[in-house]
Amino acid sequence: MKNEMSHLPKTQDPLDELLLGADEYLPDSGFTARVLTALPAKRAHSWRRFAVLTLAVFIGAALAAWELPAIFGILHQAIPLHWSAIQWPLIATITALLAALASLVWAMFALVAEER
Amino acid sequence: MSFTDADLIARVLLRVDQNAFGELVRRYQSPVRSFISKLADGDAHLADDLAQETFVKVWNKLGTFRSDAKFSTWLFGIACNEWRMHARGRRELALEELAEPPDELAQPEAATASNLRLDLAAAMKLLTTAERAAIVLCCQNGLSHDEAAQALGCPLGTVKTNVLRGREKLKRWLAV
Repeated sequence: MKNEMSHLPKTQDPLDELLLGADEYLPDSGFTARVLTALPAKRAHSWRRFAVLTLAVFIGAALAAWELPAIFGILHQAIPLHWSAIQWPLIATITALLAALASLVWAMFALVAEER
Repeated sequence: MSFTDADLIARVLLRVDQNAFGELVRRYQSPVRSFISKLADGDAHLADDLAQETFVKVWNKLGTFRSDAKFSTWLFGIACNEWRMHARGRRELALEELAEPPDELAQPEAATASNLRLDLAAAMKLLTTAERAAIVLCCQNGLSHDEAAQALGCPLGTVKTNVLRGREKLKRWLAV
């Protein structure tokens, strides 16, 4: 058996000889085959899936960054308050970045959880 | 060409190679089944079921195995946990909760070599499960006290005590 279990040192103790002599090798008798049959399906780490997810996140973030200023512009016109001092483009960019970051974190967690 | 355990583990992790995992199972099935069988008082069917569960868990958790420990130590630890869960599930006594067995075993009058092994099996059953587990791991499977403590999830001193006490009992009972 070529496993990493240590070889027991030779001993003069009759009890050790007795213990070693009593530990007989159990023949496999189909045990390994039963174990392999019982194994649940496991997927290899899908780097392609990871790349697609990441790309999707960044495309989504870019689209959000592109579209959000227009949405905020509409909101700005629709809400008659003194909000003109607010930096809408800056807020839009920050929101888009936060959304992208949250999406990325979520995607990573989902990926890791699924792989496990 | 023979692969080391580390090679096989890497193949399982990187390529999800069931053949490599099968080789790991073939290498360790005997000591794991034997270990659990001894904890289960020789119930081979129960030992096989628990050993199978052990290897399925190994398959699922192999990614968490740290290569700074020996694979066998980690494997015996999982096997021990499987036994514990089974014992608790059946309201049997857990490793540390077992009562002391009767101190005296009928000593063989003529302890010949032919029947000594049979007597050893009987004497092993009279040890507490904790002593038996420690003896099997340290004296039959070559784990150090430290490794056995890791596998059994108990302090090093407890393992040393269990090995020492178990050996003393066996020597006394078997008159060796």
